[in-house]
Amino acid sequence: MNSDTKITAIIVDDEPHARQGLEHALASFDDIEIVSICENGLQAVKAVNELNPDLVFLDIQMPKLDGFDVLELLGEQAPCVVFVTAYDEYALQAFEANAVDYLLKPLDPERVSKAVAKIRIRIGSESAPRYDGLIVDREKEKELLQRILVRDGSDVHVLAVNSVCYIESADDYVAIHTEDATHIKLDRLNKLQEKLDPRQFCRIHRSCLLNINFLSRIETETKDSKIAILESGKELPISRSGYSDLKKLL
Amino acid sequence: MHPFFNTTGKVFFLLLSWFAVAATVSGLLGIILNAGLQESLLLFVPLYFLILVFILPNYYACRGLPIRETPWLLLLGTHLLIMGVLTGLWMLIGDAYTGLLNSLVSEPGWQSLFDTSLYINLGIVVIQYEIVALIHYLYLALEKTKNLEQAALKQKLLISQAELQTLKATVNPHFLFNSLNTLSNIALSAPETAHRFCLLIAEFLRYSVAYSKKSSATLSEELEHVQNYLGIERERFGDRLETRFEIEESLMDVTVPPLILFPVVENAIKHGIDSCMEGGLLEVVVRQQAGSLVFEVCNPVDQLGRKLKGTGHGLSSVKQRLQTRYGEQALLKAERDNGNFKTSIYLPLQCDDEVIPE
Repeated sequence: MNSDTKITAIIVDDEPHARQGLEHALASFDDIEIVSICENGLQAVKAVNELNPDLVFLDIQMPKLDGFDVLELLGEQAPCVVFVTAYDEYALQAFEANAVDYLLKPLDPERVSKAVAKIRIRIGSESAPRYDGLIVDREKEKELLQRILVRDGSDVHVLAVNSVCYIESADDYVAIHTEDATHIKLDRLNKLQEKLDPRQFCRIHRSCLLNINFLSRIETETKDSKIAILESGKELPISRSGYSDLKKLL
Repeated sequence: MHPFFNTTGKVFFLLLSWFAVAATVSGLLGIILNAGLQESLLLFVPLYFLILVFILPNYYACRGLPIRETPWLLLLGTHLLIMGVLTGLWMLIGDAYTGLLNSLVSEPGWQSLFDTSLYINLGIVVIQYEIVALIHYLYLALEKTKNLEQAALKQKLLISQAELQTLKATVNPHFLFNSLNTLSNIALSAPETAHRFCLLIAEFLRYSVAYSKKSSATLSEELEHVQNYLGIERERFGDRLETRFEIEESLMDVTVPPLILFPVVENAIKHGIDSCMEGGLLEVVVRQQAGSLVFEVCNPVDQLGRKLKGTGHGLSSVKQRLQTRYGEQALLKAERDNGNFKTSIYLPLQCDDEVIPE
């Protein structure tokens, strides 16, 4: 980036006054140009996807999709991040997410200008380390996943884990099949499996994770190969170890 | 388990003192009847000792028939019946024992001693029965007082706990931080609004602090408090928060426990409206139904939204407060139906006389 071009930024906050406040606080910095102001995580993902800004001022506590969810969805596409939040309890996670800075509300103008200085250095340097996916495993470590976030360009889908029939892996991606759609997500099946309820999801095959609530019956094809028939009629191959896991579960 | 038998110390003490009683009575009988002291002790001590086995279970009769709550005819009848059976048994066993003594040490004195003292003995057995029954009733009465005191203490503790929780929710740091943020942002652009906002917060805090110490408030005060709270949140949420109130005017002066409505509304905002990206409508309905004051809060909830920590904590505190104060007469109900959440509180109407003194 050349030093004479402006830093493009978006503001993401669910509270109207907070958005205005931040816009006001940033108005005095000529080299920062606010290209979009978003009211929620969905808009943020869309704005980043369409405008590809250098920087995002991201609130953490937001409905449905919080700041960390937005980063998870953006993955490698995420720009530099400055978290703006009223609570200091997320600071550690924020730094794990490689945030440029962490601003506390109410905003202190001096603190904001320090953050802007940091932003200039980070964005000016060639190898700007961005969000690196570390935080995907935040806080949820112990808690089982209740929903899966997927993004298709600018569109975000929040899938209830219970509505997922089965998940297939393909290279670095997973294909998440619900009753009426298939969603592609950049993730590993192993990683996803760890976060799902082992009493509900069974690895019936190296490349397939099945929600047993959608299983209709198991059929034997040849002596050693079995297939799972889902309620939708879909047939999925079961490996030998997958079959023993499935039997244990049922 | 009989309460006198729950420690070895008590058992030992009981047996020892009863032995003293048996020995004294037997000795006195020997002297009065001019029989030999030795014979009298040998004959009566085991018999009087035996009575203990018959008399002690009378505790269960005493417990089953509390003096004040049992019709006196039933009370008297039952005890007389037990007493009759007891004396009869004592007579039979005494007779058998005398026969046994006779066969062991052949001496005609046993039978005559037993026969001549029979009426005196029966009288003493009856008196002993009455004394033990009296002791049991006294013990039960003491226990009851103790239990009542404990229950009262527990209730007091529960109330203060619930109050503390309400107060904590009111001045919770997140709420204060959020309000301060909003204020700092409004202050830059709209001083008039900022001023009104400060007034709202002041009113809100004043009520919270003052009324957490009182035992009752009127519904209109409670609703005003809720309105102040919603006024504060409306600034924060902007268009995302819509509210609708439907109140039966005649209920405005009804007394309710203070700060009982706020946690429900706060819960609806925190876990309901704030979970929905587009926000939604918060509805408050206050009505009357079959002698009860019904307070309903409806709000949308996004089931796939992020779960906040400590969900429902405020509601469980309300539930506890209601139960401590009204027992079965009050109810807190939470229903989830698709994307909607409804919390209802049922309170008995006109509850002034049930106010718990500070």
